[in-house]
Parts: sequence; C-alpha cells; structure tokens
Amino acid sequence: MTEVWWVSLIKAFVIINLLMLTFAYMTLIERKVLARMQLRYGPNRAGPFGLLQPIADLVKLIRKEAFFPASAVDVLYITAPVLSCFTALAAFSVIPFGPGWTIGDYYVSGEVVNVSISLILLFALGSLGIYGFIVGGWASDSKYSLLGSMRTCAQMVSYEVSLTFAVLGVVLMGRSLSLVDIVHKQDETFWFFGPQFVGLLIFFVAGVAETNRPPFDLPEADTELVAGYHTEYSGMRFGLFQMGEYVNMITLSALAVTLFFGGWYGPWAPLGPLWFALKLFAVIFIFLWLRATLPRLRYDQLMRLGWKVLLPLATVNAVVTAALVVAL
Amino acid sequence: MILADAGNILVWIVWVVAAFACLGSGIAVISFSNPFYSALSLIGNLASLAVLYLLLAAEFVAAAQVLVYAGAVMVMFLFVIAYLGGHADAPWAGGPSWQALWAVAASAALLVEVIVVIGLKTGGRLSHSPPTDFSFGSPATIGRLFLTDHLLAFEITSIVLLIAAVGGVILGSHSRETAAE
Amino acid sequence: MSPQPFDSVKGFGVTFKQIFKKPITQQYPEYKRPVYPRFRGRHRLHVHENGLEKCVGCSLCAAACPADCIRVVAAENTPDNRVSAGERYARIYEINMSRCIFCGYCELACPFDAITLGNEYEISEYSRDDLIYTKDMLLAEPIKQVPVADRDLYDTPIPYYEEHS
Repeated sequence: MTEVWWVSLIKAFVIINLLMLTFAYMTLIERKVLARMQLRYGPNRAGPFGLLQPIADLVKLIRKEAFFPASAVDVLYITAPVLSCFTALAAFSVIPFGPGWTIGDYYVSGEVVNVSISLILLFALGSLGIYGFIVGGWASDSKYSLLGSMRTCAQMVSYEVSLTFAVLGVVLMGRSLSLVDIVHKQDETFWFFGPQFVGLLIFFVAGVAETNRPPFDLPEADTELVAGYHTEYSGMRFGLFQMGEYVNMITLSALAVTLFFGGWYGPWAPLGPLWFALKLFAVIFIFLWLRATLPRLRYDQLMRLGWKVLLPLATVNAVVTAALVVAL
Repeated sequence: MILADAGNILVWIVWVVAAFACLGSGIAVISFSNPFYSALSLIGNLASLAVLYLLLAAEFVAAAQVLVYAGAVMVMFLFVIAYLGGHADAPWAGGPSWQALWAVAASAALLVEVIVVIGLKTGGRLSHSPPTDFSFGSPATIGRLFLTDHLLAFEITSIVLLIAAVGGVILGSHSRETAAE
Repeated sequence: MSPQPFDSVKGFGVTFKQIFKKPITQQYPEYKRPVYPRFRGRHRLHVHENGLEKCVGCSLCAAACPADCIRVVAAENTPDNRVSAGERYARIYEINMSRCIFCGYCELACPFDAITLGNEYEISEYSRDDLIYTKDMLLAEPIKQVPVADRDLYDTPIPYYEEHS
C-alpha cells in the first residue's frame, strides 16, 4: 500500500508544525525542569504555569534588532542559521511514530517518508548541519565566532564517528538500515536496549556531545568564548540557531527511542504515537537531567573522551555484536 | 537525441539542474580567488554529485557521499582554510587573465572531443537504460560486491587508510615531542 | 584526584530528589518580605503638627548629597504666605531619583529633621522624567505600604522626630 502524494504533503506539514511546537515548549519544559531540580520555580508569570512563556520569547526575538556586522559576508551570514535549522528539521522526516493507518480510502503511513537507507540519511543530514555552524562562525568575521565555531565543529565531527559506530550494533541486529524495519524487528525479538546496552550508552553520550548540550557545551559557554559561533547573531537569526540545536536534540532523542527503545511499540494498547511521545519525553528528560547535574567538560577532556574512550568501545561493541549475530 | 517521456519530465528537470550545478560549482572551485569560497563550491559540487547518484538509483552511495565526503572530509578542509586563510576578500578578485581565457578554450575543445568519442563508441546504448531490480543500490548488494568481486581493492583501500591514520598519529606525536624539547 | 564514578551517579539521584521538594523561592508580588524599620527607601518631607513645613530651604541636604541629586531654591516667608516654621521656605525642592543612591546623608545632614528616608521601595516609572520627584510628591504619604518588620525586635528607641514636632 502506497501513500498518495498529497497525503504525504499534509502529513509532512503537520509533523513539521508539531515539531516546531515541541521545540517551543521544550524551551519552557527545560527551564521548569531545571528550576525544579534547583529548588526554584521556573517561569510562572507569563500565563498560568508559564505556558505563554515561549510565545513571549518568540515575540521578543522577532522584535529584537537583528544587527548585521558591517564586515560580515552577507549571503553566508544569513544562510548559515537557515542551513542548520533546515537539516535539523528535515532529519525528523524519517522517524517512524506509528504503524500506519487506513483512513477512509487513503493509506497514511507512520512516518513522513520511508527510504531503505533512512538511518544513513539521518546521519548525512546531521553532517550537513555542521556546515551551518562553520559557515556562521566564519562569516561573522569575529575571533570569538571563529574559534567557537571551530571548536564546535571539531567536537561534532569527533562524536559523529562514535555515534555512527554505536549504531552499527543495532543495524547488525536489525538486519536493515531502514528505521521502519528496525522498529518492526524490535517487536519481533526484544527491544534493543537490552542486548545493546553498551551501544545505548555510547550513543547517548555521543548524542549529548553531538548536539552541544551540557556537559559538552564548552564551545557555547558564556564564560569561555562569549557565545561561540552565535556571538554575532541576534533576533530571529539567533532564534534559528537555537531552533536547530533544540530540534537536533529532539531528533536524537527520537532516534534513540526508535533504535533502542522499540519506537512506537507499547506494552499494551496499540496507541503508536502516544507511546512514542511518552518515550521521547522520557529521553529528553534525561538530557535535561544531565544538564542540571554535571559540570562542563574541558575541551581536551572532551576530545579525549570522544577519540580514546568512546570510539574504541564502539568498535569493540560492533565487532562483538557481529560475532554474536553470525554465531547465533 | 534522447527523448523525454511525459512521466520522466521531473527526472529530466532534476538531472539538468543537478548537472549544471555540478559543472558550475566545479568551475567555481577553480575560479574563486578566496579559498573558503572554493571549498564551499566543492561542497556544492559533491552535493549535486549525490543528487546525480540518486537519479541512478544508488541511494546508499549518495548518502555515503554526503556523510563521508561532504560531511567529514570537507569539514576538515574548511577547518584548515578558516584558520589559515586570509581575510575574506571579494570572491573574484581581479579579472580573468589571458591564461584563464586560453584555459577555457582548451577545456571546451577537450569537452567536445570527449563527447564525440563517447557518442561514437557507445552508439545507441546511451538512450537505453537497463532495468534494475529493487536491490540494485542497496547496502547488502554493495557489501556482497565488496567481499566477492572487488575484495582486493577493498582490502588495499583499508590498508591505505590504516597507514594514513597511523601516519597522522605518528606525525602528530612527533611534532609534539619536538615542541616539548 | 582519582575519578569516582559512583559519586557522579549519586549526583543524579540528588538532582532527581530535588524535584519533589518544595521550592524555596519567595514569589514576589504575592509575598513581600518585610523590610527592617530603618530601611532607606523613598524620601519623605515632614510637616509640624500645626501644618507648617519643617523644611526651611537651607540646602544642607543638597550640600551633603554625594550624588548631587537634590535641588533646593529658597524663598522668603511673607506674613500672608507662611509656609515653613522659619524665615525662609523651600519654594522648589526636587530630588532626582535616578541619581539618588539612597545613602541617607541628607537625612543625617538636616538640622530640622525635615527629610527622612521612609520604607517605600516600589518607585519604578516608565520614563526618566517621571523620576524627578517634586516637593508635593515628597510631602505626600506613600502610595503603597510595604510590610515592615517588627519594630520592637529590630529598632531601638523611637527616633526623636517621631515623637516631637
């Protein structure tokens, strides 16, 4: 059963808007969860329980003066945040969140698009997202931006390698690169966080570093490099960078849920998207928990962790998984 | 003249755009005077190559091209250029010299030669696309080809990469020791 | 310092437990923390009980002010227009609240106890021009009362000006 093209279009539109809504309220959820972990309230003035705070932030960002450094390179400076935000949003299109439903005469599949190589597509889009940071930092023509963007990109490239290797074990067990097939395989056998526990750990640590979240957020720490690659950005351009960062985090959590925690399968009651959303928020909560608990890693500690600890572990994990898959 | 089917019009449009983007960015790589722009044009070249691979039903190769080449190798290029490149001058500083004009003429002549030779050699086979089954560009097929038909090339490539990695580590540690002395 | 991974994991437990404790934030507009009795807030000009102002326009407060924010212009008290209890009165008395550092030197300098610093601190305005307080604004009672902590606990004998006019 294939989907009619305009059903895909409507679904893509709905998913993108849901994703941006999740991003907006993710900023609020992060502030409130962090606050509760620090024995204080989060934002609770704008609307009941602070629910209108993201709207207030959005209006503030739009109304801010979007200054333009005189010596910045025009086209590159403006398209850099667009690129990083675009790749972050586009990467979410291959994530399956339901089994597929038949509504009336039309078939609606559980993801926006299903390609046979969807996992690699996701990583390829992530690699392209790095260019948003490099080009943004370089085009701002400022030393802080340049150094910050170089550090950010070195970190992202290093941990991308470990991220891809950690996923190798799941691919071997799931016998396919397509996320839909991996989710189906987890229903047939068992959720992959059991046998692939080491892979999950590596994936998570590398994922936190890949999205520049604390404790790996040295390149954008205020006390270190003013603000790294987004020093010279303000207003909605800065908002687009933040959107790219948060949507990257959401996409990575969705990927973790899909690869390791069974995707949209639940223990009882076939409510695909609801289980997916619950697991997604659980993984995002772990991201926020990490931010509240751990201090920042220094840059050399960060790079050493990526190359000397995670990469060998991931390689060993892949080799052992391959041996076991062939043997069993 | 290859005729376009009405259903293939989208394929044609994508092919024409990707091909011209590939050629244009390739020319831009060698004609920009600012190395950062050259690197960015190279990234555009690789991305349009990936689109052309997709049109040939080789989706794994396309994704791997973007992931590895455009996503990691070019990032390394950009690192070096951004750190060591000069201030961002205008992309085309100075006009084309007589050398550049003669180079364009010579390469146009070469292009015409290549097209004529390929056209004469292949005859009518260019307009006939052989049918491919569903698993044509899949990772399984490529993996099997690596391990059966092209095993020697695969192994030699991995050894070369290993030598490069080990050499990089040795060079890096050697310079650190000399710096510490 | 050797790495202690178990302690890091215990750290996660600590942050998780804090979610279920009640936050210790004091929500400001609903709960206002009481100020101490000698808190230096907005200035107040005082009058005698018979309605004459205490301020005679000597501008000792203006001389003592380190931020130079008080403006005093004196005028003679005429028999039919008697404003203060001396020979002269302050015709113009303005304090620029955006300059004032609330140090209290004007209160210490005044020989007649005419100006004191009260307890009111909610004096924000939307424009800088509104922050120049004129004499009638300073003479008036505070608009909003702020809670004051227990006087018997925190303050010592009642200041002279409170009991004598």
